[in-house]
Amino acid sequence: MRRAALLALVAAAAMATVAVAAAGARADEERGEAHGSVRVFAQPVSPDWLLVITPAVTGKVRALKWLAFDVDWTADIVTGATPRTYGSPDVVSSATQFSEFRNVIGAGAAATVGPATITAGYDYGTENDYRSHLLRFGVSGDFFHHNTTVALTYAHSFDSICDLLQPGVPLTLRQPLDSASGCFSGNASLTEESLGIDTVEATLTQTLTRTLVGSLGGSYQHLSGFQSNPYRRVRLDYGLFQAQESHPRVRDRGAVTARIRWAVASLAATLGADLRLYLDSWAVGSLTGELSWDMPFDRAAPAWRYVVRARGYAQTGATFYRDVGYADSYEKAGPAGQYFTADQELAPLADLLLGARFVHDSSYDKRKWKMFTAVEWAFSFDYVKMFALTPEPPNAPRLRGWASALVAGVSATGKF
Amino acid sequence: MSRALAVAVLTCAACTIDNGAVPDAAPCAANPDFFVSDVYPKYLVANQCGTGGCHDFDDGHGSLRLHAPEPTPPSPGLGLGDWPIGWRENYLSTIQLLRCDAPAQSRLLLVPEGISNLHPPGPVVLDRAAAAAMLQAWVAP
Repeated sequence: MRRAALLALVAAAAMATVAVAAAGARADEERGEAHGSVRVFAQPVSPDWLLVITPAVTGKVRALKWLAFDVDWTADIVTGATPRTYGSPDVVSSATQFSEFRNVIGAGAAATVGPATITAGYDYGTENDYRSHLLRFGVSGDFFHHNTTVALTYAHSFDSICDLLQPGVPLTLRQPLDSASGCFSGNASLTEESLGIDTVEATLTQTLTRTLVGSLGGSYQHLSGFQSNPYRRVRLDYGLFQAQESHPRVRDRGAVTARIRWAVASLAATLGADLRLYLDSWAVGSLTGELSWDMPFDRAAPAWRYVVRARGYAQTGATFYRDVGYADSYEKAGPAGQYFTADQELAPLADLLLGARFVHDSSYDKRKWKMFTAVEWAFSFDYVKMFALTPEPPNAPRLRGWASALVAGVSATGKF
Repeated sequence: MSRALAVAVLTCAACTIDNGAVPDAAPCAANPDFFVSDVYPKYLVANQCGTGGCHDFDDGHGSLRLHAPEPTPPSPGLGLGDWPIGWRENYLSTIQLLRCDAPAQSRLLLVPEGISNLHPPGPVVLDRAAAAAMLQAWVAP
């Protein structure tokens, strides 16, 4: 009830802010934008199916020439089925159904001083077994007639994860949480594990020629605290131990991303190429390459345009990952030191994504619905096929079907 | 360029975590024969733990999952590796909820008794005193 009241308050505040700004705005100046979207993510392969519906609403308004505010709300409505134990398929029980509901609400402010913009914000995330408080700060600069922009952001997240209270119990005897029942209610059998996440990102974007824009970005993240999934467990030593997944408490992650956008003037199109290299202290490394093509259906009437993209991704496994199909699996050889995981994202994997996005832009001399000067609609579809690079990774059925994931989205953005 | 990449890879390799030593905790492998003769029929079956919708292997809840075991139970003294798979997996699943150092604190006992409200159906153990005595005898015969 309190959560619903809080959400209603945020929504009302966002609507009021937008309405006041729109009413006070002249038709020839934009004061902000409102955005709404719904995304549906499905992993359709039985029995490890998954469905995630993500509605999101954001609002941004420029209260003064130099000062803007933003509010946002995102939810994840998750339902699906997954095995709770990672072990030989003939001895682990079938997938267990689960559902989750996650809410994130946030607000921020941005101040512009000369060529620089300084931002700060706060987000609060809640679900049955997880709480998150995120503080974010940023500074960006826009130089040489918008030909050079630099941005630096920092965020710190204070997270709490519900878990069974098991003080002093050895790692291989720790048991998983069965359900979120009783979490964050002072239940004497449960505890709240903490996780702190620091994230720094820097980006340089530069106009290279009249038709070419490039950007180079780097990010670093430090995670300290409980990083296991409290529900997952791993069979060790032929099943004598069936313990809650054990991940290291510290993880350092870094990534470098390079992007190029080339304008093909004769077609009014843009060719994009992205490359991302990622490495972390758990020995997971990945390389991502993406090509995209953005072009109007009709150059004479460019309101409708399409964007198609293809992305390839490959990653190595964590240093403590042991595949069920190998001779040194957890089941046959025990843990890798202190650690054992049932997380598919720590296994060697590859994937291919093919996506299409259809976008409609409209601008109005007279405000649409007495509010918007421009409205953009976008419809997107992605097909993802993942490839296992080991014999039997966690959630292996998701990798064997014709589609590992299907993603569809619709969004609307209005400027006022 | 390749030199810079090599330096980056080596630098990052140096940052990779050390997996540490394997924990030396022993499993709480209580007497398997006592499981067959007492714990399974007089506790798990008597309290209907393995019924559909509860802790049935295929459609149950929680980490305790119980097969419908083979009609002929393993003979006393038979090595666990030679047990029929249903009986063996039921034993292995059950001992995960047992504490050899403090049998009375075993989740096998506390959760179905409804302690701390972690058992959605509520308390189901019919005879708590007998159950506690049985677990004590199982761990420390």
